[in-house]
Amino acid sequence: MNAVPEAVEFHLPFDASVLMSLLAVLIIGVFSWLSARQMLQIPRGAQNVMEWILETVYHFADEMVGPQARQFYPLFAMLFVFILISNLMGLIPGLFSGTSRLSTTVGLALIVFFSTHYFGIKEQGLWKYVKHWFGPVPVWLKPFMLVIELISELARPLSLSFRLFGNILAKEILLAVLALLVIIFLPSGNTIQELLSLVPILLRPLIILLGILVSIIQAFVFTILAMVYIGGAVRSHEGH
Amino acid sequence: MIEIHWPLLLTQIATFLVAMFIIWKWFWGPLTRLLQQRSQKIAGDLERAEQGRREIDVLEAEYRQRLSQIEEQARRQINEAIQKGNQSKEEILQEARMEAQRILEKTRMDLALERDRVVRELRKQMADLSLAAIERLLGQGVDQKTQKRLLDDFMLEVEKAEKKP
Repeated sequence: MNAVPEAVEFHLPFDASVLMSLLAVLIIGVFSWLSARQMLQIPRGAQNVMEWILETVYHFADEMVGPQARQFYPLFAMLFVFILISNLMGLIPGLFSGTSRLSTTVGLALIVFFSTHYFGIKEQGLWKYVKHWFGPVPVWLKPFMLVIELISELARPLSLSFRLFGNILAKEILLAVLALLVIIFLPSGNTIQELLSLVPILLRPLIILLGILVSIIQAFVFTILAMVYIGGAVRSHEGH
Repeated sequence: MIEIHWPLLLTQIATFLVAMFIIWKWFWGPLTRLLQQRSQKIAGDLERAEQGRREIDVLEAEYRQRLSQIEEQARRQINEAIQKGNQSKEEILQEARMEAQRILEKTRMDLALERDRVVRELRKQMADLSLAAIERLLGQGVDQKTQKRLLDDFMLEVEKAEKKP
């Protein structure tokens, strides 16, 4: 992105990732309005697509979280759709993915992190929830278990945020580099460089297709991991 | 790009949570309730269809049982009717045979009586004719005693002739 200083984001008085997030929310809002406008018993069009997405998310939530999944439907559905739309926005010329900014992904990961512990304590009670961090080990090993569990808990938002950020940023950088190569090679006047510009021109559509795949997979991975974390916190830890 | 801006991060969190609240409240919540209602309706319809199918199975079994009972009853009644018919037929035939026998015997009796009457008549006529012929042959009248003797002889001859096969 830094290679294109004419891009809109360099002329805004605030970080454009907020603008991208707002745009993603607007797209989700408009599509949701279209889908919930008629509320047909036999769905079609936008309602069909939205129902399919929601039902898929609910299905996975039910499997990962169990009977308590219903109260987390809004969070999981919004996480999946927001991350998916944000990821895909980076493939549209002139826009970029809000999820290619660490502030966005860390924000999302923190929402999952705090939700996990808030609902874990709410469901099981503070003592029972904290107790499971000490593990079913002899007393002298419990402090070590606590350290390991705390590191594990803290690593979760880090891994969640950096995985999404890294994948989406890599996709954006790759597309930007390919665009930059075309911009540099094509008007150079050098026949070899002009011929070389064919490589990024041919490669870019394939990378865009790959980008779509990565966008879907990353949205899916983030949401599934959020389900696993929250599901693990709200379910009983007797089996640990 | 790699660094975290906390105000930005908080803004993103707020954006996400507010958007989640609004979108769920206005769009996804009602849509989810619709999905649940629909799945409940489908489950209810399937249950009713299954119950209906079970009722149909029961009714079909009852119907088949009743049909077989009716068929059995009809078969039994037909057999009884055939037996009664055969019995009636035998009785009618027996009566007919007896009646025929009775008519035959009566006819035979009548014929015998008639034959006897005819024979007697013929005998009388033959006797008269014979007497007339004798009188003509002898040219005179025959006394009553001779007449009786000749008549008896003649009748005896006639009876002998009748007895010859």
